[in-house]
Amino acid sequence: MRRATMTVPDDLAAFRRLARGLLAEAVPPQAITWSDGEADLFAAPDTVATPPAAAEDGEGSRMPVAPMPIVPMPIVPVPARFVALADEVICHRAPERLALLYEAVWRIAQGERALLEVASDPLVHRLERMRRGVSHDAHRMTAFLRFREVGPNEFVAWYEPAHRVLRQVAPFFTGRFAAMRWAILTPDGSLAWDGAVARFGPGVARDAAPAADGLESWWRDYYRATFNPARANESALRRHMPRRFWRNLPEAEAVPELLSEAGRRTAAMTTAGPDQG
Amino acid sequence: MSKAPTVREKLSILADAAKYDASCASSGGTRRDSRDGKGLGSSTGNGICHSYTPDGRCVSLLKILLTNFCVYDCAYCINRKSSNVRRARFTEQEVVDLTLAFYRRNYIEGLFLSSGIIQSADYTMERLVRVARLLREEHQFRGYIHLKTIPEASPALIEEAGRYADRLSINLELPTVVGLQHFAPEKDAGTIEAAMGRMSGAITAAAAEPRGPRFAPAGQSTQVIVGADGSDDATILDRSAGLYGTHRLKRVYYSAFSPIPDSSQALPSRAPPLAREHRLYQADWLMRYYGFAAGEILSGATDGMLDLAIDPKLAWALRHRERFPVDVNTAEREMLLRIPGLGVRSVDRLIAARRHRTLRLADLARLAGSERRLRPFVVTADHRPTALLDRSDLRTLVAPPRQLALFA
Ligand code: SF4
Repeated sequence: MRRATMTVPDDLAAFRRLARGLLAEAVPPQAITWSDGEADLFAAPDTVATPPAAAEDGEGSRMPVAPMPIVPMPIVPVPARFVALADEVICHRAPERLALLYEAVWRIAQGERALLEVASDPLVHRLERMRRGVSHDAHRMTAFLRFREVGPNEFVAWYEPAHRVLRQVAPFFTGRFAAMRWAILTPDGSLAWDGAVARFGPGVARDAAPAADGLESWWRDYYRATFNPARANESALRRHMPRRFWRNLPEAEAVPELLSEAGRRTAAMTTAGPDQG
Repeated sequence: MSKAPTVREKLSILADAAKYDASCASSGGTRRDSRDGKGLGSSTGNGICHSYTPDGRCVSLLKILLTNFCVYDCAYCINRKSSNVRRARFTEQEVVDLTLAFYRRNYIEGLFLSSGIIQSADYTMERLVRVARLLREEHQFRGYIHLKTIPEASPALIEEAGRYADRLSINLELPTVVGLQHFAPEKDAGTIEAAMGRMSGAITAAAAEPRGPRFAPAGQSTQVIVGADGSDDATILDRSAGLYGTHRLKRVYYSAFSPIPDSSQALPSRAPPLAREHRLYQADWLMRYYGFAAGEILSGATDGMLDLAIDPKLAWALRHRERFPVDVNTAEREMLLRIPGLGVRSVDRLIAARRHRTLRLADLARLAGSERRLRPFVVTADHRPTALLDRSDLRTLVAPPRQLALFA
C-alpha cells in the first residue's frame, strides 16, 4: 500500500503534484491509501483497495482487480475538464473524494480520454454528484450569508458551509462588496477584506460571531410582510431552505409564528367577505 | 385617521401591498461588479434567492411599492381606490436608503419597485425612475433593479427607466380583454399591448447595439392572475405563447388568484388550487425549453385544463403513446426531450455519453436520477417495454404517489 497524504484538505495543487508522481510510477488506484490531513479514520490501509465503482455497478469494473505490473507511464496532459471538476470536488468533505479523483485521472491516463463526457459512468456520476454538492453549497453561501454591521462601513458575517467552499466564494464577495470592509468567519477558515486586499486566515469558533445589528429586525419585518399566508407551504420552504441554515438566518426566527398563524389569517380573509365599497 | 406611519411601518405596509406580484427574479442582468472600489454591488447574470418565504417562494429582491395610494379601482387588487387598507408612501430617498442598507448586509440582490398610480401616470413613473437614477448615479449601485412600468406613461420616461433598470414589466393580470374590461375598467388592453411592443422594440435595439444606450438588458416580464376570471388553461397558455412570440417576453408569471383582505364582490369567493399555478409553470417550461407548441400541450385533452394530478409532459405522453417507446441510443434530441422524467440537462448529458457508450437502463438511471418513470417510455440496450404502453393502468404505474398534498 502506498500512502498519499495531503496536509491541506482542499489544496488542489498539492493533489495534482501527488497524482502526477503516482501516475509517473504507474501506481494503480487500488494500491493507494489517501489521507487528507483531517481525521485519519478512513485511511485504514485496505479501505480503498476495492474501487467503489466496481461495488456499485454489478457488471464489473473496467479496473483490473490484480495490481498492474509496475511500468512507468508516459505523462499525458490532463484535460482541462478534469482540472475544473477537481477544483470543485476537492472542496467536498467526503474523504473518498481524493481516491475517486485519482481513479478518474488514472483511467484518463490509461486511454479513456473522453471519460468525463460519459456522465452515465458510475465513477463520473459519483464525481459529478460531488461537484454539484459543492457548487450548490457555494451558491447557498452567497445567498444565505448575512453581514452584520460592527462599525462605520465595517461588517462581519459568521457562516457554516457544508463543504470547504470559502475559497470558491471569495471572488463573489470581493467583487460585490469591494468598497466595504468586512470579514467572513467560518469554522474552517476566515476571509478578511480591507477594501483592497483579501486575506485568508484560520477558522474560528461560533462564539466569535458578532451580535445582531439594528437592521435585522427591519429585515424580519420585511420577511413577514412579503409572505402571503394563503399560500403557506412548509415542505416547499424546507426543500429550498433546509433547517440547518435557520440558526444563522435572522429572518428564520419568524417562520414558526408565520406558519402557525397562516390558517387563521387566511380564514379571516375569506370569511370577512367583500367590503361595501 | 391614524397618525402617519414611520419608515419602518411603511416598510411593512408597502411590502405587504407588493407581495401579490409573483416575480422576484434577479437573473439576466449584465455581468458587473464594484472592484473599482467606487460603488456597491454586482450582478452575476444568474439570480440568487437570498431567502424563501414560508411558502417556498424565492426572496431575491426588496419588493415594495413606492405607495399603495391608487386612483384606479382594479377589483383584484388590495390597493384599489375603494379598499380600506392602510395607506403609506415612501419618499424616494427612503427607498434608496433601505435598498442600500439591505444590500450591504447581503439580504437582497436589489430592488423591485412598483407603485399605485398617484396624480397621473407620468407623475408616478417619474418618481419610480428617480429612485433608480439616485441608486445608479449617486450611489453607483450595481445590484439588480426591476421597475414596474406604467403603460400610460410617456415614452421618454420609459426610455429613462430602461437605462437604469435591468428588467421592466407591465402586468397583464387578466388573460383576456374581456376579463380586463370587467375587473380593471380603467385599464386598456390596447394601451398595455402597445407599451409592451415599444419596450420589446427598445430591448431588441439596445441588445443589438452594445455600445449604445442601455435598455433593460434582462428584458421584460409580465404576470397573469389565474382563477379570477373564467379563462381555462388552454386560453392562458395561448396568451403566453403570443406574448413570448410577439413581444419576446423573458417570463410570464402565473399567480393563483389569492383571497385578499377586504376583497371586492366582483371576485370569486374561492381561490383556485395552487397546483393549477404549478402546472401552468410546468407547461410554460415545456414551451420555452422543450420545444412544445402551446396548442400541443393540451392536444387531446377534453376540457382545456391541465391535469392537476400529473405533470403536463407525462400527461402528453400518456395521450400520445404511439410516439413511444423511444430508443435513447438513437433518438433525436427533440424526441428525447419528450420522454417523461428526462430534463433538458439530462438529455444533453445523455447525448454526450452515447457518443462513447451504448446506454443501458442503469446508465439511464444515473443520467436521470431515477428510471422508474422512464421505464415504460424508453428502449435501451438491455430493455424494451413491450406490453407496458398498452396497459390501461399505465397512469397509476408512473404517476407520483399522491404528491398533490404539497399543493393542496
Ligand atoms: S392600478 Fe395597480 S395598484 Fe392601482 S388598483 Fe390597479 S392594480 Fe392596484
